[in-house]
Order: sequence, then C-alpha cells, then structure tokens
Amino acid sequence: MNVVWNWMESTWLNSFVLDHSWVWPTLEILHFSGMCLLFGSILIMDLRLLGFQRLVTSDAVHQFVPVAILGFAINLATGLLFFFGNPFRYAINISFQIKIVLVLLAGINALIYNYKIEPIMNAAGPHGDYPHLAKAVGFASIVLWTGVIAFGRLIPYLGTG
Amino acid sequence: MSFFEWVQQTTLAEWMRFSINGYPTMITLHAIGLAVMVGISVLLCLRMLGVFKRLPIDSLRGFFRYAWIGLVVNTISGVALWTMQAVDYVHSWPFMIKITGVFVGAGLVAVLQRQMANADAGWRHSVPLRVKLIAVVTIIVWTISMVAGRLIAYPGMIFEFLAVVGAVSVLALVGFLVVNRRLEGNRRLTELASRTES
Repeated sequence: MNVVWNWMESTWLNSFVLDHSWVWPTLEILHFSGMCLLFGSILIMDLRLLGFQRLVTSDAVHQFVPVAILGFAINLATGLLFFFGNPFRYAINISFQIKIVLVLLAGINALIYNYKIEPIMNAAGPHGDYPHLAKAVGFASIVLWTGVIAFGRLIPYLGTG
Repeated sequence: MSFFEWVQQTTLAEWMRFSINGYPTMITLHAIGLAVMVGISVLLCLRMLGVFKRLPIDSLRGFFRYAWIGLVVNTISGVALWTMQAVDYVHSWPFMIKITGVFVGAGLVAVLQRQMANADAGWRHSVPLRVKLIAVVTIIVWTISMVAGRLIAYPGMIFEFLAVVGAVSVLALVGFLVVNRRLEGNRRLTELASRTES
C-alpha cells in the first residue's frame, strides 16, 4: 500500500491541502457539517425504526435518506482530502482504521435497510410497530455511526500518528 | 484570583489536565452532542422551510427532546473542556463568538419548538413567514457557531472566515425571501384558481 500513499503525497491535491493555511480548517468545518446532516437524518429514521415517534409515517420517514446521502458525500469528499494531505498518518492510525471498518459496516447496514427493511416498514402501515429485525438494524445504525464519530474524533489521541 | 483563574483550579479542571482519558472523552462527547443537537434541529428547520413536506409538522414535534439531550451532553462536555482554559478563552474571539452563538441558537430552537407546538391546520399548506425566518436564522447561527468553534484551534483566522460565512448568509437570506415570495405567490394563485373553478 506504501506505493499508493507515496503517490497520494506526490499529487497536487496533497500540496493544495497542505500549502494553504485556510484549507484544513475549512475541510474540518465541512466535515462537521456533513456529520450533522448524516447523523441527524439517520437518528430520526432509526428512532422511528426502533418504535419511538410513531406519529411519523413509515413511508414519509424515507425522505431523510437523500439528506443522509448528501451528508455522507460531503464527508467522503472532505475525508479523502484529509487523507491525501497526510496519507501515512491516517493509514497507520488504529483509530482511523477502526473508523473506516465501522463506516463499511454501517454501509452494509444501510443496504440491509434499503432492500430488506423498507418493504417491512411499508407493510407495517403508517404508524405501525416494526419486527425485531427492523429494530436491530436501527439500533446497529445508531451504534455504528456513533462509533464512527467517536473514533474519528479520537484519531489524534489513540495509537500512532 | 479572578473567577476564571478559580475555574482553572477546580478539581474538574485538574482532572481534565492530568488524566489521560479526560480530554479525549470530553472532546468526543462534544462531537456526538453537536451531531445530535445541530443535526436534528437543522432538519426540523428545513421542514419549516418546506423540505420533507410529506411529513406532517405535528409528527416531528417529538424530536425536539432528542435535540435537547444533545445540548445537555454538550453543556457537560463543554464545561469540562472550558475549565481547562477558562482564562485564555475570555480573550479568544472564536470562543466568545461560538459560545454566544450557542446561547442564541439554543434560544431560537426553543422559540421554534414553541411555535411548532402552536401550529394550526393552515401550516399544512404554508408555514408563516416569521417561523420560516426563525428557521433560516437558526441554521445561520448554528453555522457561525460551528465555524467559530472549530477555529478556536486556529487563532487568527476567525474574521476572514466570518466574512465568508456572513456573505453566504446574507445571500441565503435574500435568496430565501425571493424564492419564498415566488412560491407563496404561485400557491395563492393555484388556490384562487381552484376556488373559482368550484
């Protein structure tokens, strides 16, 4: 993988991120904004999935999915720029590695939500309670994304880098 | 000894400075609380502005309580972080702007919650302009707080960033007013048309 990290360090993106003092804080602010959009929307959807706030109808709660995707897209883009700016620091950092694994698990969980849970929700009726499988997916989503935030924030304090 | 010097010598401040886990724990909780409070309240603001229209406003009222839980988490973690540098923070523009923004933002969310509690059937079609304005200003205030909060770690950049955020905010506000007027005009026309037809 060292070849890839070395290549990243040689790109213009690397110099762009490192050479201007305003770029890094700007990326951090955007990363926090994306986090708010992503976490806010999955929290509303997952709380409903768990059986809270049943006034929210099953079909309408899916409207938050595009916001979650937008938040994720912002954070993928800004996250990649952080990585290009400092590939070796992140690649060997245990907190970063855990974070990425959690993101992947949360992604798989989101796919299960999309293909398996949404039909179950729609079948349960607008204000219905959902079966255990659906609740498990909602719970996993909250735990995984909370973990993503935590291990992301802990990158400077855990392990190397 | 000033009040802020005293704060920096409390047991909590000592613990935050000398324990290995104190600072990382609080800074992590602060990020999670931010995501909860700002994430949920901004989405509720967007609903007031006409996004997610298929969700009735009544059905979303219950979500304010989770936003407040986020604020409680951030008050606790924030106080802990503040005790470490209470003296310096009094002279830090980013910190003073951020903390003012948090108080104003929390106040605006409380106002919004009260307004939504009194929502009548008419809101189904169109939310009153004053409520929409509160929603826009809330999003702007949270943005300013978040920008200033992050810049506590980057002294000397706050005014450049605020100039950009300010310019974007003014554009957003004007853009909102123009679009809102358009949409409201169209809505009234359709209403009038359907009334004359029947």
